[in-house]
Amino acid sequence: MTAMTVTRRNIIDPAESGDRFVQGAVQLNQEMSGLTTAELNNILTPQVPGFRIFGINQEVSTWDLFVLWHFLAMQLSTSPPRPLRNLAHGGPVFLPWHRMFLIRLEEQLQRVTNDAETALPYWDWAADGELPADEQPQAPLWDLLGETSGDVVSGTLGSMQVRLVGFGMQLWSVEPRPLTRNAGGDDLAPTLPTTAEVAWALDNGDYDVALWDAGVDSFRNRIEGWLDPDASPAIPPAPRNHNRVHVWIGGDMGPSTSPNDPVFYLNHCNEDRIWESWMAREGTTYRPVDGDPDAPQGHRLADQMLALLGDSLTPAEVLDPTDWYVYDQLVDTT
Amino acid sequence: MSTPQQEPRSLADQLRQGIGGLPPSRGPYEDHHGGGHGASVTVRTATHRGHEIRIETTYRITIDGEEFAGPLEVLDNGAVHYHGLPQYAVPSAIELMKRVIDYFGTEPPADDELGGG
Repeated sequence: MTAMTVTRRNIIDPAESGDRFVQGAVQLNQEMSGLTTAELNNILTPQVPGFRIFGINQEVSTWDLFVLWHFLAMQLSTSPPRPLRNLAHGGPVFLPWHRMFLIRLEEQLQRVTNDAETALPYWDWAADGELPADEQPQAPLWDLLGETSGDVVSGTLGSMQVRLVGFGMQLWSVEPRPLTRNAGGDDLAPTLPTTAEVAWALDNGDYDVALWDAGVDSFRNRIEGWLDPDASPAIPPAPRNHNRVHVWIGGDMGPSTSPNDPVFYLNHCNEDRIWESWMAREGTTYRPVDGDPDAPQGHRLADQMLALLGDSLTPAEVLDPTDWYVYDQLVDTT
Repeated sequence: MSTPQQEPRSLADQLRQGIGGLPPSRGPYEDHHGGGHGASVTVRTATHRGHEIRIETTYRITIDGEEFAGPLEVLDNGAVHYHGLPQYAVPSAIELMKRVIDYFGTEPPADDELGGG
């Protein structure tokens, strides 16, 4: 199969893009990788001293390897260290690292569906965020993805199996179980992000700025969700944009093993689309570059990004994604 | 730029060959995990009108009398973060620990067969 540029579309329109995605996700979730958790420990612990998987020994699937990859990236701190910053989050590499991660998953979907035109769809969660709070868990997306509360046992994703889970800071291999969700169940994020939140993020013309962390005011930090425009001395900050989607869904979207739930990819595909919309307006720019003060290793323009599956890429190599994909529609930034 | 889609077997082979993009001078894995000593220490610094401010915050937490390894981190805006729940930064460590219990409970989710030896 020859790689080609695919078009990423809204998951609910047309319906085929969503159907193909959930079917491919289940196929990858059921496709055994040939690796057991014991073998993974033998492979990874020498490379990352201190890391191991806990729990039962079992063979894991191709889907599970992506869960492992995301978990590991989240647990590796940067140099210089800053609170919560790791090799994929809390700093500039948040958007390019997830772009690489999604490209690799998309390649696997194309392989397993035997269709070079299979593309990841995006979930325009800000559109659902405009609905009344009690209607958000009933939006059309969930007809396709199954239950928003409790175990996911209906629809195509009812056959998904969770084998690797976060338990605090540890990765555990457990008896396979269904996905779980708890949408709207945390009063920190009773609703989804809104179109106004996305517009506020897009309004910042700086991709990122020193100290390159979760405290700065930049486009990257606004879309990742660590800044809250409504916070004040009297109103504590709440999660926004990307973070808010994770917290709103809850369940398996909470811990570092959140790629267990296919909605993880729909969320990040939308953030990638928003980033592409930002670049369409601001230009194909990225910071930090070599020489920027306090720039963390693994986050600079020419740094290799952490990769378990597929070749490692640099942020510079993914700024223009059109060799892999385009979006049917960007966010209106006028 | 595009790469051929890889079969599961080649993914496994690639893992055996090594992790790509692992920075040589990253912080040790244990540094991000509190070292298992039960105390979480965050140092925040700022400069104001030429004066250097340094704030060291230490959390020592137990649940049902058992030490909680953490670590908790304090962000510059005062919010508290625990990396086991990576998208959360909340105003209160108590609120954070309530969510830790809600998400994870207090017992490991399986027997640790992989830790034998």
